[in-house]
Amino acid sequence: MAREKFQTLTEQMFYILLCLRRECCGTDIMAQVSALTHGRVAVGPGTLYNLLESFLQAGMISETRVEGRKRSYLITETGQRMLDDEYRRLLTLAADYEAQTGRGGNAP
Amino acid sequence: MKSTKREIGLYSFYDHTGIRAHLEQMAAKGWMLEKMGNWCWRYRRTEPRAVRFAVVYFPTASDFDSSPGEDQQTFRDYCAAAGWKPVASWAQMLIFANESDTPVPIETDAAVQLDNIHRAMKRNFLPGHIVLLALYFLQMGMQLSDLWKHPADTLARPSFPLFMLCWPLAIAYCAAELTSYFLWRRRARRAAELDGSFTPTRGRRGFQAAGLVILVSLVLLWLFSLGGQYAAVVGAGALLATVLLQCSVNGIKALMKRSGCSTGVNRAVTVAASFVLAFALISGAAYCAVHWDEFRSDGGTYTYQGFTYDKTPIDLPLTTQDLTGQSYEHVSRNRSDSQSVFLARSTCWERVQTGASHLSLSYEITDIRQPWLRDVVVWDYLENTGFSVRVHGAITVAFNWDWLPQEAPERWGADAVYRKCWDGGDVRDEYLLFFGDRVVDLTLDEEPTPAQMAVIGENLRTA
Repeated sequence: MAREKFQTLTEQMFYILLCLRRECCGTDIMAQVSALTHGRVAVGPGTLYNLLESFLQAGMISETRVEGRKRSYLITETGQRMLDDEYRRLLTLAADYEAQTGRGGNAP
Repeated sequence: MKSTKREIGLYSFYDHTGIRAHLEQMAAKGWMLEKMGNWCWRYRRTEPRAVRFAVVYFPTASDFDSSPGEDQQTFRDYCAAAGWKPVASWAQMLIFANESDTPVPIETDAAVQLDNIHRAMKRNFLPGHIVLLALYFLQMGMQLSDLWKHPADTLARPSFPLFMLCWPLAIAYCAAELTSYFLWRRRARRAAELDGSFTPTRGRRGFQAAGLVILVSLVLLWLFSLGGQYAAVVGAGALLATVLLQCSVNGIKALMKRSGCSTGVNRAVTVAASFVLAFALISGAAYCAVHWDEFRSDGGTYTYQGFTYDKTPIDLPLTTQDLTGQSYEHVSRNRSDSQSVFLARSTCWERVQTGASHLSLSYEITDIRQPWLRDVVVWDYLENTGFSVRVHGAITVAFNWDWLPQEAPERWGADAVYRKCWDGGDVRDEYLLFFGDRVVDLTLDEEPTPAQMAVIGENLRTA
């Protein structure tokens, strides 16, 4: 069954929204995500463009500034709530893991 | 040494993996893609080098765009920031190149890529192929309907066997293209949902090449099957006109793109031009078909008392002179031949002036070339006797006739002879003669004498 859109966030969605907690233009997001994750997560320009369009349509981000073709975005309350939900989901996953295995933190 | 190279793009529209791999191979050989089109891709010579290509789809792009729209330009800016340079575009497909060793791919989310490809396919490939598939089914249905209603006439058409080969092949090709896309999409969607992985498309260049070879072979077969030098010239002319029409439409579209017309205006003008040019082509073809005999006659006719006659009448297997023993000064004759692997047919017609009136003679000789078809052809002539006409689109008038067996067919030198009798009992001077695997449908002005029957049989049995 197809996963409902934005019910859970992919890594790339998560980090894009995380970057947009501060106003940021599209072309800078790729570099910011890469820096934030030490190169572990890369967001391709095509994926970034499409996700930003989808986030805009879903009201998760808003366009704050347009300078020529350079557009800046900022996360909205809806987007922040979804980011928070995803954070809590990940914490739940981690807590369940710890409860089942008795291991936590950076333990192998 | 030539600096540009053209090749036929043998890839499905969605086959991004195959196209990317091919472009990388070409770049490694020193050929960089410069321009893409429906059929022809153009390359320019460069230093052989390793170049990474990306084939991406921008669903709102159009082949009628004079330049990238603002959204697409923003998309290109993002790509440029990641080191990807635009190389070429083809409708919703955009090609980018990157010369760094490990560039960040343009698409890093399989689900997003899949969604883009499908949206692009819905604007381009899918409707086109579905319409084509429907048209192919319609054409095949019409051919089969003709075969069912008028088997002899249909089987005698030179193009019939070819079309019966052509339409199923075209249907199979179209269905294979659609099926392979939907199968790939299903696999790709499952993989994207399962672990976010990308599913490469399977390059089917061999399949595309085979399709092209079959298409060219069918066109050549069609030209040869037309039979006769003139028909082949007309066929070649029709093909050339079709190619010219396509080139003209593409030229108009390219011109409007260069002159910066908006997408909507370009689309409207190009579509209108397509209709106008296609109408002109069809009208021209219809005019040529109607006036075909005039073209062929090379001015070898003259008019006498309001009727057209031949200066040098062609030979026919049976003429009025053969039946009456008289020679005529003013004669007009016509003969058309057609043949397929199933049947061969000659249709002959003659009109002569005798005093103030005319005598006419017409016959259709049909040779059954496949013995297993004999029963069908005989049934068509003897039993399939009737047709209906709708008058003013409301009343349907039916016309039926019977073939009455004639006694002593040996007088005609035939195996069997029948005479036409309309439903109301009106007996006509139209005869059906059977000579082995030959059927002759003969129309005379009056009932023939025994001597004329013998001449008819002698001339038409082996002509």
